[in-house]
Amino acid sequence: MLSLHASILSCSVGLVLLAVVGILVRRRMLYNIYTVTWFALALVFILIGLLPAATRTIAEILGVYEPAFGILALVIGSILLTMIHLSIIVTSQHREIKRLEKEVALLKIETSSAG
Amino acid sequence: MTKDLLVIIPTYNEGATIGSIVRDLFETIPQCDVLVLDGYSTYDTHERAVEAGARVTDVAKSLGIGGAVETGILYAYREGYEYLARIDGDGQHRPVDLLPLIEALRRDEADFIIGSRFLGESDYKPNLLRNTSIALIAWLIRMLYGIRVTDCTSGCQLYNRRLIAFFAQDNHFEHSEVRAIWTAGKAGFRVTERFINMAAREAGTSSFTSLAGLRYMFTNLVDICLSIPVSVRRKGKSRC
Repeated sequence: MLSLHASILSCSVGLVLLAVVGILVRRRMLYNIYTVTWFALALVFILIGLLPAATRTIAEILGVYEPAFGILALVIGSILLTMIHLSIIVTSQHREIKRLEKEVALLKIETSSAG
Repeated sequence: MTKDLLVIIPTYNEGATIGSIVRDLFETIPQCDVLVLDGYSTYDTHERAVEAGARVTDVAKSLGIGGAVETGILYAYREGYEYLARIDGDGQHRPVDLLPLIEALRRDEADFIIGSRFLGESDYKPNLLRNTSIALIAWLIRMLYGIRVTDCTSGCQLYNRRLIAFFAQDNHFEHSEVRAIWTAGKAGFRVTERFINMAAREAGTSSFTSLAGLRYMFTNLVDICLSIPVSVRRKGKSRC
């Protein structure tokens, strides 16, 4: 079972993450569409803090007898998923930049021929 | 309006050779248009190409040769060219050696012709690392797609109108010499090779360093392996 301190800490981390992501979105520094994984991660932290008994049950089902290790594995897994999500975003943005760059290059030919 | 032949040349700091290549192209193949796709060279490549009579544009170097070639393909498609030839900007492909390949394309012997330095006695000999990479990638292409090629990394490739349209209309197509081959073959286009002599580099240095060579080989191997046709993958599974 998680100690009270650990539960409070987990909830706090989740709430801080929610607040930071919320502020970034409000300040237009982060698109809504890219907040899914961050909000999901914050929710996981909050649920772990609020439901320590459930955390223990899930840990036992998964064969992890020390919930702290389970939480750590979960956090690392979530971060990896977030990184994959970010890689997908970078790829799609690179593709878009490439498309624009090609259009600019073709426009340069057009304008130099016209000139 | 249909135009005949567009020769595209991706360049980066090829000022010492690009002028003579473009002039040589116009003398040898008078009906062709030449488009130089420069990666914002730090010296006079752009100016030398314009002086020689080529159309010139800039494509960010970070997009690589592939980005430049894709731009050339898109241009050929929109301008209605019947044929497209892509050669290197370092003077290793002589325009006169290009003529038999163009003729083969005009006779509709294939949709895609690769200029191979391995089908005859070429002046340029690749190093061991490059030779091994080429052999391994060519073997994989043959095993997975049944396309027999010897020079899968050749910078001399020619496409007909159908293939130009196919590449240009695919928004997700990322050009590399190797990917162009198996993508075209997979889609049912006829891919073949003809010998082309490859001269030693006239000036400048190749971007293909040992590290770049390893990276090139790795990315192409991953690319080919992840593109295995489903039927081949299933076949592989049933053997286990």
